[in-house]
Parts: sequence; structure tokens; C-alpha cells
Amino acid sequence: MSVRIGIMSMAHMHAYSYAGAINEIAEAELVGIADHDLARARESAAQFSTQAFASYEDLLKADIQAVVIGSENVRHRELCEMAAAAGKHILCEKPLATTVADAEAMIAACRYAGVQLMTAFPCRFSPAMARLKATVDSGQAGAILAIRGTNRGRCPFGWFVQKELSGGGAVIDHTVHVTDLMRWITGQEVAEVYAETSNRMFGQDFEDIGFLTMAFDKGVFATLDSSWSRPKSFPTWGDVTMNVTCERGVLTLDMFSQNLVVYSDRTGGVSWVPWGSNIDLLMLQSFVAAVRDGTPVPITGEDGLRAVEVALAAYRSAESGKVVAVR
Amino acid sequence: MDYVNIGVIGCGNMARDLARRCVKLGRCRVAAVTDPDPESLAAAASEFMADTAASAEELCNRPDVDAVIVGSPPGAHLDNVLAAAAARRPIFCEKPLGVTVAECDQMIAACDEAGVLLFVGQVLRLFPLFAYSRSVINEGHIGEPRAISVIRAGYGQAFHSGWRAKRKLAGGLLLEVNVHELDYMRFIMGEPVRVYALMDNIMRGMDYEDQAYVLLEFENGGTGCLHTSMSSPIGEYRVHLQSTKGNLVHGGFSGSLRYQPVDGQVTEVLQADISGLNPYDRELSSWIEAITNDAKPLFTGHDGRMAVAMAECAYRSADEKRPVAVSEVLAT
Amino acid sequence: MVPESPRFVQRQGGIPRDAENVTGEASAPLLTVPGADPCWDDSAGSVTRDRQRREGLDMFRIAMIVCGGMGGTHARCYGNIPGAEVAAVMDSDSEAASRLAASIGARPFTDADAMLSAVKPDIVDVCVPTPWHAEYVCLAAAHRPRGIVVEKPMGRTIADCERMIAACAEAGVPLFPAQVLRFFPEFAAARSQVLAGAVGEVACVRTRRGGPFPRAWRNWYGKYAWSGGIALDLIIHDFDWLRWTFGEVERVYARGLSAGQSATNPELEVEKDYALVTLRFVSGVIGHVEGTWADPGGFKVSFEVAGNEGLLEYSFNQPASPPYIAALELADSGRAAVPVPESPTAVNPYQRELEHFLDCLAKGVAPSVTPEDGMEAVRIALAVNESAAHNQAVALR
Repeated sequence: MSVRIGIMSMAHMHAYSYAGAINEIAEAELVGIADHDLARARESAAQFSTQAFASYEDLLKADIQAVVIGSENVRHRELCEMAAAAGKHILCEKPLATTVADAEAMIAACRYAGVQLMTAFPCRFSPAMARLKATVDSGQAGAILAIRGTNRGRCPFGWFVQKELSGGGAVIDHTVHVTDLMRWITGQEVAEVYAETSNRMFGQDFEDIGFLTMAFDKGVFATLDSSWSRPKSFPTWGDVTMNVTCERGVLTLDMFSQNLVVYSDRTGGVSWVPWGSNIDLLMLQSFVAAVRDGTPVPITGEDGLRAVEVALAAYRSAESGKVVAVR
Repeated sequence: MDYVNIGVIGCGNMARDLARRCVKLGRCRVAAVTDPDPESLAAAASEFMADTAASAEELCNRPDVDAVIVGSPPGAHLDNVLAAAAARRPIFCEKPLGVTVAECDQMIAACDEAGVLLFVGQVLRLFPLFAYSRSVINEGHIGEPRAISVIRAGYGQAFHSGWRAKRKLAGGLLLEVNVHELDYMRFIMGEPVRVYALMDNIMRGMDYEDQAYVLLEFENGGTGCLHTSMSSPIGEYRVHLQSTKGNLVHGGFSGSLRYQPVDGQVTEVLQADISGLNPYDRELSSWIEAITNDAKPLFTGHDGRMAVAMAECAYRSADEKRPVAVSEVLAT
Repeated sequence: MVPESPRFVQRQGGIPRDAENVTGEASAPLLTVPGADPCWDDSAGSVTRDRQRREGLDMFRIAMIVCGGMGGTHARCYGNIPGAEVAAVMDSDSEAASRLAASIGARPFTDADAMLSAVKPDIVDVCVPTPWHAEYVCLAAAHRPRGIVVEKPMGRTIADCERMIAACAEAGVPLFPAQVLRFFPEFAAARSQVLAGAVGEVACVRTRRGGPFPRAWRNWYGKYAWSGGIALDLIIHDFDWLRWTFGEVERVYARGLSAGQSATNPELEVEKDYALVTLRFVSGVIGHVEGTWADPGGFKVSFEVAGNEGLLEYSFNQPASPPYIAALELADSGRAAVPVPESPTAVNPYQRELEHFLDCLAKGVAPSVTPEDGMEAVRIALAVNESAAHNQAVALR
């Protein structure tokens, strides 16, 4: 029996990738899309050969077992609580929420309802990342000492730069992916954060530069560049990189470096055309399998919360100029 | 069917509340009610603008009754459920399903034969901290459950008079009250295999135990202890769960839940911060979904029977002062 | 701070071996091509033109106070500079002194004072480990050469730097801290591009530098009290280039392996070091510097500068590099010799740096790197160490 999935909001561009992924998975079915913007629901439903629902309530009344939440960050909680109360398993776009209270409420609602909550951290499914994790777990590199990470991108603008919808700027948008990867490979939690932020890229009322330093609870330290510092003319959307310094060597990850370089006179520019594995598809496959088999999702709501806490700590540090405790 | 037309057997507070919730969920209408007590009957009929029936048989056989809520005292469940099964009406039966395993077996057999749903209201599993605790285990944060201890102590005035003070109708404290906790312990630990119990009656208010310790062994090798009291002026509710990789404690119907993996941080959640459907609404929704859409019901007669079996083992253990295997009471 | 009896302060006395007894290859004049380095825009003018002019005018006799790899690098560079000649080499290890002297046709000495008295050099080049810079620079200043080169980091402490600056000022001797990164064409070109507005208003800058742990005499790089760890010894290069390009630093925050432990263990000795540094410039630019002495995958340098109108990068964003690289130490040899970065160009950056200094002396103009620049770079590096030691941001102004 296939896993029947609905999508709640296409506000985040990743929702389009997830919809495409669901359609590629034989044992999953995209039953429909609801959106507070009905026109967007209709357009995306047509794009992905599924039906649009007039409201989230209608979608949740349909015969579905799970939902993907792709709304603006601040709406995650409301949609998550609705879906949980309706008994639907949930894959929620990152960042899980914009406040600790919201994220905790989402986790609690899902646990109370007995549904699974997975945070959409597709980077964990990167084959290169899997190799890195395997090397770390094998012990051949020794203990991790320090990590230098980046998740830079072009500024997405739109609701991403409206704090009342996104909860912040580049820091809340780009801190969580690599923070999650760092937690995953170290098995440690971030204890302290120091951050410098600025708005020098665009000079507007959101931060576009975020340089975080983190100290983990068992000694690893790390920095993370979560800036929207790629110009429009950059040949790809951005990057996810980690340089993991270990007792016996260095593991270097450049997750999205599997590209063709295209120099085009038609577009007048250079672009990188990716040919690596579709990590969104790999993530959706894992979510579908967990829902189908009733097994725990590999990345939980708590994982999402822990990463959000780091981003929020970064804001507190940037505000105060001090090293701040995460919790 | 657009609406489920409900007949209500037994119109006490609990049954009326369930019926009220069914109506509020927007998918039910109360067609008829019945109760031996004329006052309760009149109140229910007036509240729901429903017809009255003289008996369970009459109510169940009305053509405008699609499904039946059995909310009578536990001692009367058997007759009422059999009446509904005979009329082939899907049933929501309040807990405990019956006062003996034999009664439960009879009800389950009748429903199976009639091909109707027998849903038992083991609602405690759905209360926030109880449901949350199961999810924490499911998510693997604290490993496999190994030992559970539940303390439920209180002084319910209602239990010291009226039908609830009589074993014949209430079944006893372990049945009327703690069949919830026994079901929850099974929900967490899995199937029970052996039971040992000590009981006492301190206040002499009821004609059955107002104090009990129930020790349980489970199929997974784990153990459990229930301490229940209806003679405790200071109320208390506490669940303490030890697992292979951590533990979890919670305060039952209020307060908070805390869990901690052996090498991790404490996570605490306040009941007040947990949002979602009311537990009763959730069980009734599940019942209605099962009736209308063939959805898998949250609880079945089997769950109700196993909880009753655990209580029956405890009574036999207290009487005979020996541990009693669950298979003993299931075999009879 | 200065430990007892390192090999280059052992005053062994005696007469140094006569240079004429030492045979060595004569240094070949370097063939230069005018305009070979179009990106080079040093304010002192064209290196090539000045080299030609200097041949007729100025001769510089160099005396080197050395210990370790950089002394040899400088010595070979002088050999390629027309008009420059390494006359003498001092190393308290007489074998090392003779070996280096022989390779470049200079006289070996084991005592600095004796060398300076005997040779009366135009230039004294001090390439000893960091804690002894001040002692030798002050000694050299007393001999009033035309100029003194001091290897980076200029000093182990700000007091050291101030002492050197005072001694040289009093003697009227120009002091040149060898912040060589300014003479690496890619870094110089990047700065020119940034200042010309290639990326618009700069928002952030990132640099990476490092490779395997450098093995050297008495593991002095690993002795935190001597080298100051990776912040003072290695990524001071980046600090100087960043300050040169983006202006003064307002505050720094850092985490580092050796610096982090230094607060509780001043005698710390490591065989691996790593630091991650965030800098906030007065301009509002935010910088990040990664320094590693823990990467067996080889020495690597990269940087990028992002602004509101573009991005400039060197070896940073690779379209098709392998997405995953594991560079692990072999079980029996995790160590490497002191790595020196190479950047093959017509004139290597170390030579360019030294030529610049000689050229400025010849023309009587101030070098582009001042002693204060050297001291400020040290100040940033020490603030980095302080930040990492005490886990707080450290303000520099």
C-alpha cells in the first residue's frame, strides 16, 4: 500500500523539490496540495499532477497518512499542530520553528498525537556526507577536534527577508543544516555560541552575514558561515562545506561540488550544472519508509529544535557581543 | 452515512459527556437514550432532544439507531453489549469492558459473531503525558522499557457512596478506576504474564479494596508496580519508567513529563504546553472513523479484555496470596 | 620568555671558518622580463626597472642570522637579486652555518656580534625563531646597518616589538618586518581588485591557510610559549593581509587547539594546532580565518571576499572538486617537514619582498610594510590567543 501524502503550503521553494520527489517514489502518492494562497495551490497541483484543496482542513480530512509542511517559517507551528491533531505524520521544512517555544510545542503536539515529526535536513542523505560519517564512525581518523563549516547562498529575498514570516535573515535560514551535520557526526550538542552578523550585503533590516563560532559540550569547536554572500552572478545557489579536523587527519566535504561548468553565450554567464544525487529524493524516501513501516524517522523534531536553538543563540550573541549558552 | 445516529445506554455523567462530544464533533446525532433511573433519563432526553427507550433491547433495535454507546455501570456492560451485538449495532463501551474475563469473552464472541465493532474506552492512553511517554519510547530516546511504577492515590467522595461503593456494580477499585493504569502499563510494557497483589481496606467506605499494590511481570522480562489508593486525603499521581537507556517520569493528569537518556540532557515538557485534541474527542473520533470509514480503531475489545484480565489476576492473587499467571484467568 | 641556551645564542666564540675555504656555487643572475607581472603595482615602482638601476648604484652586503628554513629561503632569494650578496651567515650550529654558507658562497659564523663586527653588513636579516627576534634585531641595530629585515611574526610580545622599534629608531635603521603575503601576487591582486571595487562594498572575507604540522628544531613551533601557536606563527600572514586590505580590526573571537589550552598550561607543547578566528573590522567587514597545522593533505591556501556587488575568490569555490576527501595520517608517519608555500611566478614572493626593501633603501623611501604594521599584526594574533584562552571576544580598539 502506498503512503499517501499531502503538502501544506508551497511557500518554501524546497516544497517544489519535495513534491517532485514524492512523485518519483513508487510507494508514495501525492494526494494533494493546500496553501493559504489558493492560486499557488492550484498552480503547483497542476505542475505536480495532483489536486488542490481549498483549505488545510480539507486536505487533512482527505485520506492521507502524512503531510509535508512547506510554509513560511512562522507558520510551521500552526500547520504542524493541525496536522498532528488530525493524526498525520509530518515532514517539516527547516528551520523547524522560529522560537524554542514553537518548536517544543510542535514536538509535544506530535508526541501527544502519536505521530512522527521529521525535520527536513536533506544534507544528512548526501552520499558524500555518508562517507564522511562512515569515516568518523570507523575511528580511523581519530576523535574530531574542530570543524570549519559553511552554508552560504544567494539571498532568496521574498518572505525569507521578512522577519515576521521568517524569524530572521541568513542566520535562521542557513545555520541549521550544517549545525545538524555537526551534531550528527560529533554526537555532541552545541553548548556555547559566539556570532558576528551584519547587513553589509544588502544594507537592509535583516542580517545577510552570519559568522558563528560554536563550542560543543564535549570539547569540539567549530565555525559556521551562514551568510547570504553569493552574488547573483555566482554560478550556483551556494554551498555546504565542512572541513573536519581530526586527531589523525582532515576530512573535507564540499557537498554540492559535483557539477558541470557551463559557459553560455545565451545566458551570458557561467553556471554549474549539478549531476550529484538528489538528496531531497533520498530524504523523502526515508520519510516514506518510516511512515510505511512505523519505524522512527531518522531526523526528529528534537534534531530540528537543537539546530534552531543554535541559530537563536547566535542572534543573542550578536546582539550582546558575548559568548552565550545555547540553553 | 452522513450522520451516525447514536443510542445511549446509561445516562450518567460520563455517558452524557461522551454523547455530547459525539454531537460536537459534528458527525453524530443522539437518536435515543435509555436509563433505569428516570431522572437521568429525563435529563438526557431533554438535553439531546432524543427519544427515550424502555430498555437496551428496545433502544438497540430502533431503526434510527446506527451505533450504541454503553455507559452503564460496569456490572451492566455484559447485558447491554450483548443487546447491541444482537441488534448488530457497533458499540462504544466505557471501560472496564466487563467485571470478569469471562464476561469480556462473551461480549467479544458475540460481537465477532455479529460482525460489529466493539470499541472500549481505554482513554487514559490518550491523555497528554501518557501518550507523550509512549512516543518518547517509540522514538528510541530511552531504549526499551524495563520497569514501570505507577502511583495513583486519592480520596474520591463518589467512591464512598452510591453504585461505585458496591463491588457488584463497580467491580472494585482495580476495575472501575485502575483498569486505566493497568492498560497503560500494558501499553508501555507489552503483554503481562504474571501478577501478584496485596490489598487493604482502610476507610471501610466501599465494600471492596481502597488500597492495592499490584506487581506485574511482562513478556519482555520487565516488571511493573501499581500502587492505588482511594483512601488518601492527599492526592498524588506519579509514573516512573526505567528503560535500558534512560528513564522517564511524569505526573499523570497534571504537571510535567521529564525524560533523560543515560548520557543525555533532561527534556521536560509541561502538560500545559501540549496541544492537540481532547483525549475523549480523539477516542470518539476513532470510533466514528472506524464505523464510517472502516478505519483501524484505537482500542478494541481485546484491549479491554486484557486490562480486565490483569485486574482479575490481582484479585485472585490477593485472595489466594500467591502470584497468578495471566494465562490462568485467560484460560477460564 | 626566552629559554636558556638555544643553539643560536650559545656564544661558542672562536674564529669563524674563512669563507674562502668554503666552496659553493656562484649565484646566477636572474633573467627578468620587463612587465612580466602586470598585476604588481607596488608604490615603490617597477621592481625590474629598479633592479636594473641598482646594478650600477648600490651594492647590498647581507648578513643573515638564521636558524631553520626561512633563513635558507631568504639567502637563496638574495642570491637572485642583482646587487645583493649574502656576505655572512650566522648560526650557532657551526655545521648548519657552514652548510648554508657553502651553498651560497658566504662566510659562516656562529656568533652574531662577531659576524656583524667582522662583515659590517648593509643589511641584517634575522630569521631566528620568534622569541629571539628582539635580541638579535637590537644587537643588529647597534651595528647601524642600512636596514634590518625581521621574519614574521615580528615579535613574541608587543613589548618585544616596541623594543625593536625603539632600538631601530634610535639607531636610525629602517626595520622591515617580512610580512611576505603582501608580496604574493594573488593576494596583492586581490587587494587591488577589492580596493578598485570589484565586489562593491565588502561584507565579509574568509581565508584558509595550513597543512601538516611543521617539524623543526626542538619542536619550537609546537612550544606555545616560543611560537605563540598557529595564530602568531602562521595565520598572522592573513591578519596582516586583512588589516592591509580591510583596515583596522575592532575585535576578534577565536577558538583554537593550543591557544585554548594555553590558559591552563603555559608550558604547552603540541604536535598539531588549529584555530578558527572571527574578526570584526572597524569598517563593519566581518572576517574569518582558518589556520591548520593538522592537515596531512598538504599545504593549502585559499581566500574569498564577498561584497554587495560580487565575489572574489582564490581556490575556494570549486565547481567539480571531489565532494569528499579524506586525508589521513599514515600509521607510521604523520609528520611533515616545515612546508613552504609555492606560488611559481617570474619572481618568487620572498625575493620580491626582499627586493622591495632593498629598493626602498636605495631610493631612500619608506618600505610599504612598516615596523608598526608588523607590531599590529602581532597584536591581532595575540588578541586571538587571548580570546581563545579566555573564551571571550577581545577588543583591539
